[in-house]
Amino acid sequence: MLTPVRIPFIASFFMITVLVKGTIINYIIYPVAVTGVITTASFIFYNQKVNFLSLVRKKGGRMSNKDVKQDQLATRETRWQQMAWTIYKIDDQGKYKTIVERYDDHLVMTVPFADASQEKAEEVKQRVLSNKSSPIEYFMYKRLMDSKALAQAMGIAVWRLKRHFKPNIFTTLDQHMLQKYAKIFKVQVDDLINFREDA
Amino acid sequence: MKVKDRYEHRPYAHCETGTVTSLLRHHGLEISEPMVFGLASGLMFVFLPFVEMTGGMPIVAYRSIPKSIIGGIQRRLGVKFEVRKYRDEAKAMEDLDELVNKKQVVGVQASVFWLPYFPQEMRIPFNAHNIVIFGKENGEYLVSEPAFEEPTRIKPLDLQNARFAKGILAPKGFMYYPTYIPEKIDINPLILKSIKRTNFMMLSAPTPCGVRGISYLANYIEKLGGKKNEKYIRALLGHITLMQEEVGTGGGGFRYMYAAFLEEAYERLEMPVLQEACRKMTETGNLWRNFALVCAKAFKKKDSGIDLPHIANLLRIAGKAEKEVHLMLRKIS
Repeated sequence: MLTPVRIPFIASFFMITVLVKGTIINYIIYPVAVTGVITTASFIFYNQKVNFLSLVRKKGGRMSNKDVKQDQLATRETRWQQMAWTIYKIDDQGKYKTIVERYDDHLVMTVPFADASQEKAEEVKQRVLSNKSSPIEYFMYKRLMDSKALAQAMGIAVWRLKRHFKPNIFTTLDQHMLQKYAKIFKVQVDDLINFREDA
Repeated sequence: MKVKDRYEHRPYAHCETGTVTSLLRHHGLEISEPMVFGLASGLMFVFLPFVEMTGGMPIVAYRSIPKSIIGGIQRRLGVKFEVRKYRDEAKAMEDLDELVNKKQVVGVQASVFWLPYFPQEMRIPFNAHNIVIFGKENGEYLVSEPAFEEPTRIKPLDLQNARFAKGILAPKGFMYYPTYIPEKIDINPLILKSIKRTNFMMLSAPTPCGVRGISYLANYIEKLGGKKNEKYIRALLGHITLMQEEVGTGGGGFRYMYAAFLEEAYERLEMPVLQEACRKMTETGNLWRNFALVCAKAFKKKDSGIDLPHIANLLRIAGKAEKEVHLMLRKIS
């Protein structure tokens, strides 16, 4: 999918190619023509400077999938470390005191619950890939929600949400609806349409 | 009202009592978290099998409904909170900015789902979480999160989403800050009043609430075997443990926190009944914890069998012990 900003950018590439090729075919290396071409090309480049630079940066700075996963794991660890499980306990003098426990010696139930939801998401992923369900269902379980919670967050009825799980209905959704879903799932609209699982 | 110059962050056991305590402390009223919890009569038990929460699980709550602590503490202590709700998202953020610029410390209701600093596994769609905003730096709000050891930061857009999440108990931009605190507050007579209220709530409430609610849950668990499949039973037991020990209760479903309140009450009033009640409440907390540990085992070890009558019995013992404590406290008030 092309965003409106990208269209003149790609058109300018086309313009530069036509300009250079045309000049070479017509004049071979005629000094006046060459200077003309260079000035025009530099003007075009100057106009599209932001787009060019962002392209270069994206290619150079793109992280591989493995790096992203390791980064996520690292932030996850630090976030768990920041959590304070405050608990009221009796100390040696028989008085009540607050004690802050680390998450590894606290009985953590949240993680198994989240894992159960992730497992469901993996099941749904297979169905999405074989075109039996829509990405909305996958992201719903991935973001630890259920159909009731998502329907409430969207402000629509549960039966309407479940209708959107059907692939043929999903393809007819308009941009406004998709953007609402994308906002809740914290992904781009493009990731929903083309289904990128780790978005 | 003597407002402190610098905001002092502390981790608290529960989000709502935590924010109210830190707001009151910042405005010059030295009070502890269990005291706020006890004075606002926060202790309760509710089990509603017909109202579903996230994941198709019934509501199991160990305290009174959200926002009741903000209301209860105002009624009891005579402090006044400015409470605001919004429809317009932009207006809500503008007002918050204005207050923060005046160096006002503000409590805000937010949805856990939209708070980026929590671990991914914690971010369930639960809307009644409370945080304190105490400043703005480099376009980011400074957040005093009761569940964190250190203060954190949040971007304005994330906070806006969190304040206007939709669903059950939707925050609707709810924010609050104290405007008036009486010069002298005599807490001692208020303690007895609030103990009386908690007694009334626990002992006289109809079936799904209070002490009767506990035995109702025990019966419900016992009868589960024939009705539901094993996967659901394990998930329900896990959910009960989650509600009791994980989501900011101070351990034992607020029972330890209430025992801490009774201890502080004994130090102030020096009535021996209160000390005895504190000891018994701690035992009740231990019984609750015992019950939770068995539930957690049933949830985590998928291959072992579940002894439902045993679990129900443990719960009944905890409920009975709790009833005794409240009956004992009824005599003094």
